[in-house]
Formats: sequence, C-alpha cells, structure tokens
Amino acid sequence: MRKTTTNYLKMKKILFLVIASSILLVSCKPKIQNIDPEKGLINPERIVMIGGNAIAGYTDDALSEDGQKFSVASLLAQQLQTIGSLALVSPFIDFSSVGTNISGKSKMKLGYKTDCNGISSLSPIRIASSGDPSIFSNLYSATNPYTNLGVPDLKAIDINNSFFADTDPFFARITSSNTSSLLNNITALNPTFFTLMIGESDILDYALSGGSGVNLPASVNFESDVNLAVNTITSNGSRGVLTNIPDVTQYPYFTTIPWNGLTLSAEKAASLNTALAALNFGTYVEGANPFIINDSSSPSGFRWAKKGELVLLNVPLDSIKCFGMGSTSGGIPEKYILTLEEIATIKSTTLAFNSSLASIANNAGLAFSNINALFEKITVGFPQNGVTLSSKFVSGGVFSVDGLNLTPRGNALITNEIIKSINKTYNSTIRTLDISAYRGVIFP
Amino acid sequence: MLKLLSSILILLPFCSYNQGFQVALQGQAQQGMASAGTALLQDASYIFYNPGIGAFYNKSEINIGGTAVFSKILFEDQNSHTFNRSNSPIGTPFSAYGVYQRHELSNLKVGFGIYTPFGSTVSYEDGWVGRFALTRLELKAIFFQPTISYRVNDYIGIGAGFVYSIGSVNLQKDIPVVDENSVYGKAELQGKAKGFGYNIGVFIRASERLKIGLDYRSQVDMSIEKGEAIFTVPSGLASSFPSGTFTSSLPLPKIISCGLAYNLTEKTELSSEVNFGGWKSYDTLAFDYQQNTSSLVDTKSARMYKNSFVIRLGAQYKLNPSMSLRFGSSYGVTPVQNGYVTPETPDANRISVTTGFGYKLNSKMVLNMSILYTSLQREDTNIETQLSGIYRTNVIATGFSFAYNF
Repeated sequence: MRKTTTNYLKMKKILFLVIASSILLVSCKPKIQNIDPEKGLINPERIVMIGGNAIAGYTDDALSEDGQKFSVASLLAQQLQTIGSLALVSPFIDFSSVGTNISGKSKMKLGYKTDCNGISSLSPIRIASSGDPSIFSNLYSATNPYTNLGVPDLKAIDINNSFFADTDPFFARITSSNTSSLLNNITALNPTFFTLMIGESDILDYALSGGSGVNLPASVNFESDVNLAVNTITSNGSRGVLTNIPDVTQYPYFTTIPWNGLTLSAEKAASLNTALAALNFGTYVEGANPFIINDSSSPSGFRWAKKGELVLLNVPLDSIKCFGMGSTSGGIPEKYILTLEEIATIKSTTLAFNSSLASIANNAGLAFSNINALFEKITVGFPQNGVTLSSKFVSGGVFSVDGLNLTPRGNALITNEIIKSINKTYNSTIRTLDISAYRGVIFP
Repeated sequence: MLKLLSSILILLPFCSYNQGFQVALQGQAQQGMASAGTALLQDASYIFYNPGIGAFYNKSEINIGGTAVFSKILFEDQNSHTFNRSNSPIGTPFSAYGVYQRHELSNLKVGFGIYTPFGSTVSYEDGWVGRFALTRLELKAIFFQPTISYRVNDYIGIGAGFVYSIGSVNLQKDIPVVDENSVYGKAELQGKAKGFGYNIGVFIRASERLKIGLDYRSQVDMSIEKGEAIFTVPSGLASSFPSGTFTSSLPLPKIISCGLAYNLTEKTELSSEVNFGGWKSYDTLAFDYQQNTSSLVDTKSARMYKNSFVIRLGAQYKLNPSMSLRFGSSYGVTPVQNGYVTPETPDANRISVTTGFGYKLNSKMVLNMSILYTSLQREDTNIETQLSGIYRTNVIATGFSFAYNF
C-alpha cells in the first residue's frame, strides 16, 4: 500500500514534469535572428533621386499617385531610410486623380475593348476621357523642396537646361524657379547620396517614332551632358549610383505584335496570292504571314516585313484586321515599324551610351548598376519567390499596360539591382525588396 | 531516475519527429524510445513496427493512442530578410490496434491496425514571401492493415499485413495576378487518393536477452484520379484559369527496418534500429489538368528525393513492476537534396530526443505517454521557384495511449 502511494506520487511528479516541459517547448517558437542593415561608406542623410520615368513613377502611360508610390525612387528611398536617410520628398498627385501624360491623356488600365469585328477582348484602355490638367501647377516649397527629382521623359540634354521649365510641364511643377535647371535644383539640395538614371528616354524617343522623324543624340553629346551633371553633383563629395540603359527593343511595346502577324486561312491565302501576284513578294500560306510595310527605300515603296523587324504597339489594329492595312490595302506606315537597320542603330547607340555611363561612374567612383543585364534576364524570363518574371506583355508582370514603363513589381526588380550595386561598391548591407510583395498588371 | 529524466529534458537543444513527410509516431511506448520498435517485444503496436513480433506477443490487446504534433517554422527570405512564420494546425497522428490470440500457446495470431504513417498540414501566414509557391498543404493518409503473425518455432516469428490506404490532399497557393482591389488569385487543388501495399516482418528471439527484428513496409502509391482544381482569379482571367479536374499521384516510400533489442539487466532494455527510406521514388510532383490553357499548363515539379536513413536508439527502465521510464534519440538524414527544398517539407538532417513512461494501472490496463523534441534548420534556394532562404523549425510531439489486455 505504501509502495503504491510512493509510485503514485512519483508518477504525478513525472507527469507534471513532462507536461510542464511540453508547455515550455510548445511556446518556444524559432527565434528571429535579425541583423540591422549597415550603411558602409555611405553618408545616407540627404538623398536625391534623379531620372526619368522609373524614378518619377510614370507608368500606364501617365503620371499618377498609384505609380509614384511605387517608383524606383520611392522604393529605393524606403530601403535607404533603414540606414538613416531622411524621408524622400516626392511631388505626389492626389490619389483620386486619373493622372496625366504630356498630351493630356489619363492613365491606362487593362479593360475590355471591342474591335472592328465586334469581338471584345482584354486591351489597354484609358481610365478617363481626358487627363487631369490640374497636375501641371508648380508645387515647389522652399521649406520642403522635392528630393525626388524624377521627370518623365527626362533626357541627358535637359539636365543642365535653364529653359527646361518652359518646355516641360512635369519639370515645371517641381522646380524651384522657372529659370532653374534641373542641375540647379539638385545642387541646391546639397545631396550626400544620389541616384541617377538617365539615357533611356534619349533612345526611346527615336524608337517610339519608328525611327523616323527623331534623331538619336550623338554619343559624345550624351557623354558630355552626363559627365557635366555627375561632376557637378559630386563636387561636394556626394556619393551615388549610376544605372545603365536596357535594350528598349526588347520591351513589349515592340515585341508583342509579330512581323508575320498576318494570320490567314487557306482560302484567304489563295485569294491574296492571286490579288497580290504582281508584287512578287512571295507566296502567302495558311497561318502566319509577313505584313506588308511601307519602305521608301524599296522600289515599289513597300515590301514584306523581314524576320526580326518590330511592329509598334500603337499600330492601328482595326485597320489591320478589317481594312487591309499590311496586306490588301497597302503597307503599314513606317512610323509603326522598326526595320532591321533601325534596330541595329538603337542597339549600337545603347552600347555606346552604356560604355559612357560605365566610364563616368568609374571615374567618379560611383556605384554602377547594370540594368541592361537585368533586362536581358527579364527578356528570357526567370522565377523569383515563386513568381515568373518576363517581358511578355501584360502577363509577364514586369511591364505596365503601356508596354514601356514598369509595374511596381518591375520597379522593385530595378530597385533590387541598384541596391546590390550600392552594397557592392560601398560595403553596405541594405536589404533588397521581396518581389512577391509588389504587384504586376491589374486585371479586371 | 527523476534527475536523469529532468536533465534529459533540459538537454533537449537539438531535436525531430519525421523524415520527409513520414510520421514515425505509431506507438507511444516505442515513441518514448525514439520509435525504435522493430525488435521490441512491447505491445500491439507491433502491427506497424514489425508484424513478426506478434508471434511472440502472447496477449490479446486493444491499443489506442494519439499524438499532438506542434510544429513551428520560421522562414527568413535571403534577399529581403523578411521573416514569416507558419501557422500550421496541431498535427494529430493516431493509431488503433487490435490483436487476438485464441490461447496462450497458439502459434497463430491475428490483428488489425489503423494508423497514420504519413501526412501533415503545413500552412503559412497570409502574404508570406513564398505565397506563390505554397500557402497550405494538407496531406492525410490512413492505413488499414489486417495482419497475421505465425510462430515458426521458439526462435522465429513471421508476420504479414495487407495495407489498404485512403488519403486526401489539399494544396493551396496564391497566383501572382491581382485585381483592382489588390486581391491575388488563388489555386486550390484537392482530391482523394487510395493505394495498396503490405508490411512484412521477421522477429528472431536469438537468446533470452537478444532479439532481432526485420521489417519491410512496401511503397504505397497514392493516386488521385479525379481531383478538383479550383482557381479564384480576376474575372478577366477566368478563361485562362478554368476550374476543373486533375490527376496526380504521390508515392509513400518503402521503409526497410532492421533492429536489435537487448535486455541489459532484468530491468533495463535497450533497443536500436536503422530505417532505410526509399525516398528516391519521389522524383516528381506532377499535376495533369483536364483542361489546359496558355496560363494553365500541366506541371511537373522536380522533387528529386534521395534514399536516406534514420538511426534510432532507445532504452526503457523498469522502475518497479508497474512503472517504466523510457528515453531515446534518433538521427535522420534528410531525403531532400539541395535545390529542392520546398515550403511544404523544409526538411533537414536532424537529431531527435524522446522520453516517456508506461504505467500499469492494473493487470489489464496500461497507460503510455511520450514526448519528442527536435529543432532543425535548412538553408536553400529552390531551383524551380527561386524561393531562397532559411527555414528554422521546432517540433514537439506528445501523446498518450491506452492498452487493454484480455
């Protein structure tokens, strides 16, 4: 009897011990072992962001609050704040505004559009009949000047242009005065660390014109414009990061409509072969066929598009589908086409600009971010955190519905690339962004 | 003894309970000894551990037990250093065994077992970094095993069981497409599966003190014939992600065990074993959708598991005729290779520590209790998703069983 009691007591003790330990262990979640990011050689205090569309947050073919919030400038500044930067001051538009582009149109979204055949499908559409002109009023405040100096469509030649405010309403809304250049605005902020993304717009202007009507800046001029800007900004000892330029011909604006996008039935192909026999371009077949494009250098003034040539996204699709553009009723106008020669010009200019940018960054001791290489990867497509990123129009998640500018996810990718180059050059450990937290294109 | 017990509990910094998605929690007495049960003449749990033991277990018994598995995962994204936690529900593997012997000298014994040797539920907090790889996976498999054991002579017993398995799977993840209200798409794949297999074993009573056990649990292929795929996406994408049916299958690998049990003294028994897991059969997780679109293609995700093993060591000490204390430790090599770690099985090599006790309430009733702890860490970049980071997991499993002899 006595033994049983002892046993019972022992068992109670053991049971108690076991249960107590269980409770202790259950509550013992794995511990977070977080290490604070380090600033390395950076003086992060006064940051200034300089650049074009990606820095300004121009996306879906307009400047709007939605895009500004997720601009490369906003995302990068958010991470720089973790090493002690002051908050970035951005010229935010009201969140309810429909935004505007330079020609007074609202931002775009993915919506339903009915084509000439009465077929409704997903397509980029404007969210309002016109843009918000109220955006174009000067917002400058001397007590709290903008440190996000992103100006949509900024070109190298405009950085030191004292009349820039007269010609560019996006710059006019943020500048300290009508006679101050962008460079004046930058130096007045006395930055300790800056980001400069320049050159993409210089090349895009040419590409968006279909290579007709706009000239590419000469490489020497581009180099001297950027050199002057960098030397002026760094004269106070400021450090920073310079990015290079992607190959814009890989953007979905140029790659979505194929050169041989004329899809024919067997009957249609046969009838075209009869109707267009005199042109002697070749034989139409069932399936994919080349468009006829205008080409002033060819004897008849038009020809078949060649493999590798690019059709711009703004080509009037209804004219192609229902009114014989690119087939029975004549060629697609040159302004909608990048020919092989034009593509080669864009690529060689990009190469030249990028080598200038690399040497400028090197000479000034700046970090250099190879955005060009990032976009080469995006063109092929790659996964990150379970998300597949590619330059495919709409579904790739990187480019916005305008096919040229980026989604928040695309901007986060660029931001990460910039952070990596900053960390490498300045021995800092700024965290990159979690790509999965940023959206791609919004679907209806 | 109490001191020893408490010091072991305090010394539990490294601990584990399964390997891959195997759950070696099928008998409380054995669990207290690191589940080293292949050569252990213990109780009716032999149906799972080694049907050959039944030939020498001269009792009829009903044995019912269950375990509560608390598993906490912390994921650290290698790029952004974002931290996310799992919020998996408590796992509840259970076992129920009934064995019957007509009289004590009979050399034939029959039994039936219902148990859950595989499966778990893993879920992660909302909006976690790996949400597009996985948000939740619920994997269940229940084995039904009628078993017969036969005593060949005084030294050798053999046993065999037929396994019929039913199971279910429910896999959820987010799709990286978003609507105007910032709601992401969602995929949910669910289905019921069934499979067949067997469990055969040999038990050798080499001497009064030394026992040897060998067991072979076959691979069971759980096939989902008509699973249901439900996609919740923005309406503009509904035609790209048609909900419909899918087929898939998951191999539950063969486990080969060999063990030794040795009575060191009249009061102390040691048990050890090696489990070999045929995980190599899990090379691909494929989903074949009935209706494909350019956005919804059949998937074949490489898993590339490799064969691996677990070493288990256990001991039990008879404090007195009614009370036994148990301890154990095991070391398991993960079947998951670098580049193939996924959020559903962030597995790693691991050491587990266990303890437990058995208490005879009276001549017919036995109560068993066990507890297991393990902590593991795995760093990897998955080749398919490029989800890259460190998984830190703590697991504790504690359970009770009740046996009635007649």
